[in-house]
Amino acid sequence: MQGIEQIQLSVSDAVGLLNQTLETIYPQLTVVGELVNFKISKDKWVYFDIRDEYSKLHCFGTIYVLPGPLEDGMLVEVVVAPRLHPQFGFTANLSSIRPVGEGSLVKAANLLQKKLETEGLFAAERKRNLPQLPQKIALVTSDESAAYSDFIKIANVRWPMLKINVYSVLVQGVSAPEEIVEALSKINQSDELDDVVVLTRGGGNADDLSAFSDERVVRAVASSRVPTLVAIGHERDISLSELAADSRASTPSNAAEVLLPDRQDYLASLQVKSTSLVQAIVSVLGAKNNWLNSRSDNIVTCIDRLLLNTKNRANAYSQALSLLDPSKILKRGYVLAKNNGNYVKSARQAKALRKIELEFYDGDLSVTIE
Amino acid sequence: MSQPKNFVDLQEELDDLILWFESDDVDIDQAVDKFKRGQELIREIELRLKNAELEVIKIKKSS
Repeated sequence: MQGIEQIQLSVSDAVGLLNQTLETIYPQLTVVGELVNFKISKDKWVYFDIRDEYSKLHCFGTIYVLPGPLEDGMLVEVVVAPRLHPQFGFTANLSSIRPVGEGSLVKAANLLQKKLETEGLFAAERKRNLPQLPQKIALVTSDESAAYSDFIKIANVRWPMLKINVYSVLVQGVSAPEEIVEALSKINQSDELDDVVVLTRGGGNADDLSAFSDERVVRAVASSRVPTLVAIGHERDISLSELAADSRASTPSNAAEVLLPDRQDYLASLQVKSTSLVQAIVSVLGAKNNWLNSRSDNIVTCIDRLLLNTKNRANAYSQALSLLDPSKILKRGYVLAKNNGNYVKSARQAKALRKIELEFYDGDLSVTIE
Repeated sequence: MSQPKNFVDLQEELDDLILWFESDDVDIDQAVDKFKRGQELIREIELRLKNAELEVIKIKKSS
């Protein structure tokens, strides 16, 4: 039986055989080194080397796996598939790359922050208000983390009238950005959108928190249709996702406090509303009662006035009538002449009579006419 | 039968009702009805808050 060293291979077969071997034995390698000769070509391809004191490894990939802007001198961790290219020789095909070490992380975050600031991703006018009383929350975190338990615990105490859809993701490591982006995408494609999405994790070192300053994650947060609340790490940590979010909170517990009203406070405010409602109805009924009283007073006043007018008019008539009373006229010296009960109204009429009666105010007198 | 209102709707109805009482022209017959409705809403909101239970649903990752 011939050994492989005795078989004559074509160049392509040799390359194929080597790639098969590499794929089987070293499907992927994780390598840490200094980034040098970093180049982006045609807005799609990325070429660079990583090196240490003694060696250099050439890498090739697409820009879609970049965590943000990178530059030479940064310490990076790459996950690569080593391959022998038929034309260009040995290369490491890039699956992922991320800065490591505090210095590189800070540098990368600063570069990305500048770039995204220029695009307006952190602008105040992009921020939306969070719902006052959320009913459905999408919670993106690791469901095994303290951040998860803290958030659920506070939510349960403050405002349990909630449905929380938990999207459990890795919150650190190479796959974390991809999982977070996928969860955010799923949340935003849901038929029934949640009221708000909360992206959170507890504290850690700069490397642990780096997924939340990954360009893909930051862009996914910024472009979310559902309003976002991001709370990463402790008070002092600020990730770029928090800058891109509609609101930020200092810790996972604080996120629950920022987002949810306190049930006891709410019940107290409900009591205030109840009191104001009672006061309102008392005031309406009181006002109506006053209105009725004032109307009633008006009617009495009108009737009084009417009665007075009638009385005055009656008095006037009475006075006028009394002036016409014959007995009063007789008292003033006038005399009525009568004959058999008929009034004699003229001297000519009297001359035709032999006898008439004169009526004085105090009695009658018969008079003979000669 | 109509669907029971969600919590936010109940709260909005209550707030609208309180605002209505602050308007200038309040009809007494309507006021009595609205007051009764307000009391019902407050009772319903309190009851829901008292009986509320957090619902946590874990969404599976896409394969």
